[in-house]
This record gives sequence, structure tokens and C-alpha cells, in this order.
Amino acid sequence: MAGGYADAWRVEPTVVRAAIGLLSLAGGIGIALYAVGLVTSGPATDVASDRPNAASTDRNRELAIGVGTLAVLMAARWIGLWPGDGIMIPASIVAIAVAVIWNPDPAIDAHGQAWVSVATGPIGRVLVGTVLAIAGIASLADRTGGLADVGRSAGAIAVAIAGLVVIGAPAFGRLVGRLDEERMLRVREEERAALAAHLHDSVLQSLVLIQRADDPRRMVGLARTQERELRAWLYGHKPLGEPTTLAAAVEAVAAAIEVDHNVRIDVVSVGDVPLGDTGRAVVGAIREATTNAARHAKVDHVDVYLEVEQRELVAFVRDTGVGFDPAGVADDRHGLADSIIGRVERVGGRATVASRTSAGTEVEIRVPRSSPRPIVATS
Amino acid sequence: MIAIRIVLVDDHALIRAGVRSELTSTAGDLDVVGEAASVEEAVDAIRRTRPDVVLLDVHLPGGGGRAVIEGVRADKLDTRFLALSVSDAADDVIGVVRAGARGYVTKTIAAADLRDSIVRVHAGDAVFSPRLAGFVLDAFASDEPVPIDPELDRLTSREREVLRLIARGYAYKEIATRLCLSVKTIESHVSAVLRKLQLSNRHQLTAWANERRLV
Repeated sequence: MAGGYADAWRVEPTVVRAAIGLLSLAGGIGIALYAVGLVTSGPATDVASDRPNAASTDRNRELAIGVGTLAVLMAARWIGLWPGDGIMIPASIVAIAVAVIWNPDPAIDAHGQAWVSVATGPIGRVLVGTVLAIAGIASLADRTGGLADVGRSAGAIAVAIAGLVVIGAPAFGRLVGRLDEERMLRVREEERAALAAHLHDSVLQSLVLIQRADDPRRMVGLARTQERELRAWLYGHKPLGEPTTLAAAVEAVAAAIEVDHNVRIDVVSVGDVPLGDTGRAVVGAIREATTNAARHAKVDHVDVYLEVEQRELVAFVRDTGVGFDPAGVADDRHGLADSIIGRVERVGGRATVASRTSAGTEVEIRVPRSSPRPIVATS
Repeated sequence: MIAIRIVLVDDHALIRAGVRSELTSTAGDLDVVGEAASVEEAVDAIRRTRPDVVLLDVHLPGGGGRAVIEGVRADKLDTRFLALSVSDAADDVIGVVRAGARGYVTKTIAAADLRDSIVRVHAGDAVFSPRLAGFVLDAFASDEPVPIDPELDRLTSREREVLRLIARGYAYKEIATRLCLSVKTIESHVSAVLRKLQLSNRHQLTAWANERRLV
């Protein structure tokens, strides 16, 4: 039942058990919660295997006994058959502690041997239970015999605990190993889930779109975009979201232009740097140069090369298309003048365009790596 | 002219079929004599048919392209390997090249370029796609400290220049024109780079490879 609440609220069943126990002591609210829970919660499930847990019927019977006990206790307190809160509350805490420690967990221990259960239960439960037990016993001792006896009692408790440690150590070691194993399984499962989610959002969607696309060019575009994205994801070139490095930003720009113009853009980059203002200027210039090539060169692919040198960021955008005569470019062709050359010069670099009619075009971009400087005269 | 005998190794039948039709659609100087979908099949097919060139996928069930090259090494065949892959992972590509492949091209390569690459590999030359040139420039970054073996561990400035032009998308012929050299000279530069890539143990290359999970 506590498991039912726990599943609903995504917390440990132990927490729920303790909360309900305390609420019961505080005036019977817990009992009501228990009753509601018993009615509403389904059969407990074995988390590890998703099978309904065969022990759940037994557990419900145990729970019913627990609820009955609590109800009797509350009634006894109400009518005055009560040795006093000072004794009963610590005693209840101890009882809860024992229950917490010794509660067998069928997901972990299918054999039901009590001492193995102690050792193989989650560490946290044993710790919490132990702390509760000590607190309960100490407070009980304080109420009944005064603190003077506590010293002697504590000695006895320490001996008992030492004994438990000796007995439980090997099993405890196994427990730690088991927990590591579980954690690994969980991590693997999470990775698998993340992969499945990603493939669903990207690859599957694209495959469906491709089947519905009538235009072969659009199909190729979709496939190419998806290929690029999956590749980036698989080989870790870029994290999802905004690119933060120069090479990743150039990849992203190339991908966008591919989609818009149905031209394959091969990016080769050597070295990488975090994306700063200088880098952004380079990316902008590459975008303009690549778009120009995709739009005017009448080619099916464009090569982009980016290298981070010691002092400079260097980029080349090359096509083998129709080319043009740079001397014949009219002044109102802002594409070249402003977007490429101007942009690069503003961060202290220079851009040159080499083109010959029917021999292709290559734009060369060189920008010093340090932060923006006034325009440098270069010859 | 005797046709170049080729074995295709790729675990996707569709890719094999596509490449086969691309290779054999024109004049018959290329002959696909075998196909294989796994390391085991590949080793078997290569031993049986003794091809001139193997087009080798980098990723294969049973160990990858590297395992195929290593699997037939003891046979001392004259077979040459060209890696053909969709993989972008630098460690995979460099791994296959270091195992003995004479080049690497991506599957997006145009059919004519692929045929040209096979002829080139068959002739004993190295074939660097722009991407492989980029990987090599990256691995042989110039800011390295003291090389262990200066002859093997460092690219000459001419080699670097040639690689940069390849990475920028230039064909060998265009590079030759640009640098006022013969195509043969360009090819010998690229072959020298391939040799360094395969034999060098330079610290930087090892570190670079480790960073990319290459053994």
C-alpha cells in the first residue's frame, strides 16, 4: 500500500511508511490514509521485472494487521488505557525502526531468509532504521530510567551493533556490489531510453516524411539533413541545441543551407575553438559565401574548409561552378562587399574572392584569433 | 587492359548493390568478383578470389574493417584496400588506414570519383578524401614539441600544403596546376603522408588517437 502511494508520488515506500506511522500517532490521520490506500492501490509490482508480485496478497494481509493494531492503540489512548506518550511514542518509533530494517524486499531477495534480507535490503533503509531504533531506545531510556542508565545501555547497544557488523559484513559487501550492478543497469536503461527518444524524434519522423514526400529533391534534402543530424549526434560533433564552438556552428550553417538550396555541403574542419565574436564573424562570412555558391554557381556540392591556426582562423568556401568575373561585379551587389568582406574586416581580418568564368569560385577568409581589433591594412 | 578485380565488403546489401552498379555501369575496366557482409565472409572471399582492390566498410559485424585487413595479412596478398564508409568518426577511419588501407573515401563520393579512386589505389597510390586530409592535418597539428622521429613524425610544409588543398576540395590535377607540379609529384606527396600516418608513433598522433578512443 505504501508502495502504491510511493509510486504515485515517486518517493521511496519507506518514506511513506514512516510518514503514515507518525501521522497515525498524531491523531489517526494515517489510519485513514492507510484505509484509502488499501482500497485504491493496485497489486504491488516487481519493479525489476514488471511482473505482478506474487507476495502482494500476503503483504496486504500484513498491512491489514498493522492497521488493526494501530486502530486498537488509538482507541486505547482515547479511552485512557495508556501508559503515557513518553513510553508509547518511543516504543512506536522502535517498532517502526524494526519494521523498516527487517522488511523483506522481494525485488532483491526472492529467498526470504530474514538475515539475508537485512543484508541485501537497500543500505539507506538499514541506516534509517538503525538511527530510528537508537533514537527510540535512547528516548525510552531517558523517560523511564533517566539518563544515568543510558551510558550502560549504550555500551550494551554498542556491543550488540559490533556483533551485527561482524555477522553482516560479508553480506553487506555483497549488497554494495549488488547496488553498483543495479545502478549500472539503471544507467544503461536510461541511455537506451534517451537513444530511443532521440531516434524517434529525428530518424523515424524523417523516414515517415520521406515516404510522404512527392518531390525527389525534397526527399534527398530530408535524407541528407537527417543524415547530418544523426551523424553529429552519434559522433558527438555537437550537443543538441545552440552550437558553442566554431566548427559546430559552421556545421549547423552548412546544414541549414543544404536544406534551403538542395546542395550538398561538405565541411572539413581542423581544430576548433569556442565561439566568440571573431568566430561568429567567420561563421557569418562562411554562410554568405556558401549561400552565394549554392545559389549562383549551379553545382551540386560546395566544399567548406575551416582551420584553426595558431594565430588565425582560416576558412575556404569553394565551388567548381560557373564562376564570374570579380572585376565585373556591380557595386550594388551587397552580398560580396558587405556580408563577406565587410564582416571579416570589422574583426580585423580579410576576405578575398577568386573566381574565373566557368572555373569555379573560392572565397578565402582569414581572421586573427585575438579579439576584435581596428581594421588592419593588409596588402 | 585487364579489368581490376574488386571485392565489396559492406554489411548492407543495398549499399553493395548500389556500389556494384555504379562500378560496372561504364566501360568494363572494373570487375566485381565478390561481396561480403561480415569480417569472416570478407576474409574468406579475399582468400578465395585474391582481388586487386577491396572496397572496405569501416564498420562491420565481427570486428570492423581493421579486422579484415589484419585477418588476411598473413596471406601476403597483393590486394589493396580502400576504406569506403559513412562513418565520420576519426578513430575508425584512422584505425583502418593505420591497419593498411591505402585511402578513405565517404559513401557520398560521386561514382566517377570512386572509379578513379579504385584505379589510383590499384596503381599503388594513396587516396585521400577531403575529410581524411582534414583528420590527418588535425592529427599532425603543427604545434608539436620535439618529434621522436623527425622523418616520420612531421609533415613537410609541401605535404601540408597538398593536404590543405585536398581538404579544400581540389582534385589532384587541380593541385598540380596550382602548385606548378606534376600529378605524379602530388601523388608521391600523398603517399608519403600515408606512410607517415601508418608508421609514425609520434606522441601527438598517439594522444590525438587516444582522445578519439583509438587504440
